[in-house]
Amino acid sequence: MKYKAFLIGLAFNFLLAIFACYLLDPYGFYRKIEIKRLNQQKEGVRNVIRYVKAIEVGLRKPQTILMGSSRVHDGINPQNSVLQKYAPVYNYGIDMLRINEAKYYLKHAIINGNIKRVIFGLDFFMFNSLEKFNPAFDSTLVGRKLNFIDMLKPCLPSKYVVADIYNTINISRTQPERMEFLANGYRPGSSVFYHLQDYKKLHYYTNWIFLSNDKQATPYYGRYVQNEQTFKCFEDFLDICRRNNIECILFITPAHALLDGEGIHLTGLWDKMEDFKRNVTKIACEKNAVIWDFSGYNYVTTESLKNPMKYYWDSSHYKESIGNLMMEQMMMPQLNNSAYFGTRLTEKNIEQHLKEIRTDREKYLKSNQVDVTWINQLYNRIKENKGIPKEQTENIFAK
Amino acid sequence: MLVPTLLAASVFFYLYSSILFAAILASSILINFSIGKRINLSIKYKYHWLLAGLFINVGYICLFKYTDVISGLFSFIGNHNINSYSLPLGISFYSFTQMGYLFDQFEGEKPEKKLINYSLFVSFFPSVSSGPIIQNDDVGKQLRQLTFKQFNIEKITRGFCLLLIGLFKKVILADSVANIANEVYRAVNAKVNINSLEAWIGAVSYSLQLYFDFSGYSDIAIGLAWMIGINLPWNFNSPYKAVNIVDFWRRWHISLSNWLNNYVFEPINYGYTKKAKSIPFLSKTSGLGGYLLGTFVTMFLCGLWHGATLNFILWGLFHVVLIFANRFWNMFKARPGLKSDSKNQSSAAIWSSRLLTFVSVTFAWVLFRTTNLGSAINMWKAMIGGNGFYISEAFAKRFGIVINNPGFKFHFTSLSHPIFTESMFAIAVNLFLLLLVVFLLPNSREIMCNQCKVPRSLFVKKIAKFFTVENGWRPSYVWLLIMSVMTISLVTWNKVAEFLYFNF
Repeated sequence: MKYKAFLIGLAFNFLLAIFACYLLDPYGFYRKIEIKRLNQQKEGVRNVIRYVKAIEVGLRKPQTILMGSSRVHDGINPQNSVLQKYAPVYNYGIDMLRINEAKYYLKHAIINGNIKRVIFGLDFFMFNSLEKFNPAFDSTLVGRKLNFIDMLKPCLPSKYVVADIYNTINISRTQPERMEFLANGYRPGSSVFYHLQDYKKLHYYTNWIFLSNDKQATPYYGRYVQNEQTFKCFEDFLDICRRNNIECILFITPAHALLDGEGIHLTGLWDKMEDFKRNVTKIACEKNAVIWDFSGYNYVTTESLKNPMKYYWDSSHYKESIGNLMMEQMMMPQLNNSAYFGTRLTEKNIEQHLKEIRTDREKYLKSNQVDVTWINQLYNRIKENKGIPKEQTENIFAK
Repeated sequence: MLVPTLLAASVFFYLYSSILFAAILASSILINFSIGKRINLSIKYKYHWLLAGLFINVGYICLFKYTDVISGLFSFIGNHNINSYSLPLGISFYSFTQMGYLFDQFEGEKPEKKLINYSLFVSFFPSVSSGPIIQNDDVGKQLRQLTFKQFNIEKITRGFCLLLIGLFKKVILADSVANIANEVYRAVNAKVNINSLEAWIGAVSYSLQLYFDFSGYSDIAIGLAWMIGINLPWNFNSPYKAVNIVDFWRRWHISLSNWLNNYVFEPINYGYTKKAKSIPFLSKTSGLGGYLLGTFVTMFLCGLWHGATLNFILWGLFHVVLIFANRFWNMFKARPGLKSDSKNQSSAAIWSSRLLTFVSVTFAWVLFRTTNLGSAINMWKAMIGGNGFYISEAFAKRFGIVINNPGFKFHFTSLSHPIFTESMFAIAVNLFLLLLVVFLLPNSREIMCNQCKVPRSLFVKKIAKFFTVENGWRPSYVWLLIMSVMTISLVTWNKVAEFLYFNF
């Protein structure tokens, strides 16, 4: 073999590999060819969700973004009929998003897109100052104008891409109904919790993660510190919206009452949670943003633990139907349907609203003793440092 | 035209790191060039100029590398609040290259007449940041004599392939074990009591990371230089295949070892031996004394070269102990009446020597990687089983290992502080495969260098035959496949960690 032929062969193989990456598209950026059982499930996204979201928001150029944690990511579909008049809508939900990060991702979306509206789902855990940034947050990417190389990088062949292509093909073949990462950023809960068979165990696991005080794990309610800095970040977020003439609609997400009610109560954070609601309402009103609260003890959040559940996948993640209901309530409040839930918060009604939640809780404790005992036993086990029972982690999903 | 073009490329490369650092490099070049000339011209003050040159170069290194330590030493006088400077890229490498140049001038070597040639020799972009440390009569000469005719497709292809191998070592091999080593050392620095298996996994991972990282960089530098038509000296020759510690230093960071040998060890060894011979009570042991003193000073400086922390100095001294042990062992073997045939050693003897050397070097690297002596002691304690051994329950049951065996603590099923997110098995397989690469496969030099006379073992010859390099590297379909896979696996998505030796 001659040296020249060797170099040409090397270049050819490299270009061939780039082309294969482009076509198989394990990160779902290009979506030129999508074949069921071959590459419909974009498995590469799973481990680099923050990277993918930061690139996609630049590629899709949405006018409306849905921001929040995995609760928004998995529960609100931009295809929702209510949102169509605000299209193009992109679900910019990012797992375990913190308020500090949210500010940077918003800036990033503004720099790289054409944002007119932000619908932002607030979670109590977002304001935990023990973790300001997720370890996967990339400060060299988020907050600057994306360039050609940023778009090209993921399709360049690498050991990660090769592994992600293999996983994409493998999962697409074995789970042909699964389409977890859609082009509009939405991650349908039905694909995330694919083949979920034991709802109660999944609730157990989620509550454990949130209430545990394990120092190695991500801090949620088991280790929680609230300070002024986190609320300052929230103020900054709203200031960025105001400066850029972006309409901002805020809502407190409806996690299950066992978690965002009883769990918070058990960990002694009830007062902090009420302060959180007071503060965000005050700041939102000052900055002329609309804020809704869907959490508390309403007919959605108090759904009893059973198999399957109508409104929830686990204690943290509601189903798409609830996401749709919230969007209708916030974007079309004039409908005033009795099936809707949630309260629009103002500085005037916040204290009354908190009082109602306390009353609703009393009622809940009396009428749902089985579930309440269940969460109390779970928390006692956490306090005894016994570790999560093995049987609670087995066979949650069907094989 | 070639010299200015290459100099411009080198300046551009260096400016990329920082304008200030480029200015520091430029000043160092100007000063050393002038002093080199003075040494060459002056007869009376030759020695003084050499001392001045050395003093200035050491001053440069101290100023940027050791400010923290020096200010710490004088802290008893008062708080001076001396700010530490960030480290200019490759300062240790280009300072040593220039000190070598000054020594050579002192020895009467022909001086470099043109500043532009000298500047290119010092700042040549493939070698300026992490070596190899080059010499003027070798690389400098090549750079001066470089012509367009020397560019050809064979050199470009070979250079490119060596560069790919180097990148592959760094990006795929070194970075894949870096995470494991980082996890373990993070735990050790945080005073977590890790067990023996975890400690060994961390220590071996770091040994491999350091080798693949630095030798990978050297391959990239040599490959880049080949593409331009320049032969840089080889810096590594399978150091972990060394059968003793002296052999290790002949194979590890060869350019630094040679530099220290030529300019530190040999003068001290020769000087002491010569002087001691005239002193009656030292005359009998003058050779040994020269060797021991030379080794001590050389390895002390070697440690200091890497950084002015206690750990680096102790690392150098650890190697002193190993080298002394090796010397005394050789003396013991050479005693009259003791039969030893070092040339015809059995493969078992060679492999056990190799393993012993690797283990010793791995123990020493602990000092290199930990941030303080306490962490190093913790790591060593864990490595020798002070925190207990890890063994799976299934293994213990199957082989009937007695639980609570006196002196040993066994952890079952899982670790109390799981350092690794990957399974232990996956990590062990990964390390085992990398050790096979290190111990069994031919190195880059053996694969790519057709001109080098490399002694090859029978096994390496067989491997070489398989990879069609038994008569030197030639392009082939096997190599097209290998290089294509390497290229494809190289362009990584994630950020590539910085080369470890950029810090020295």
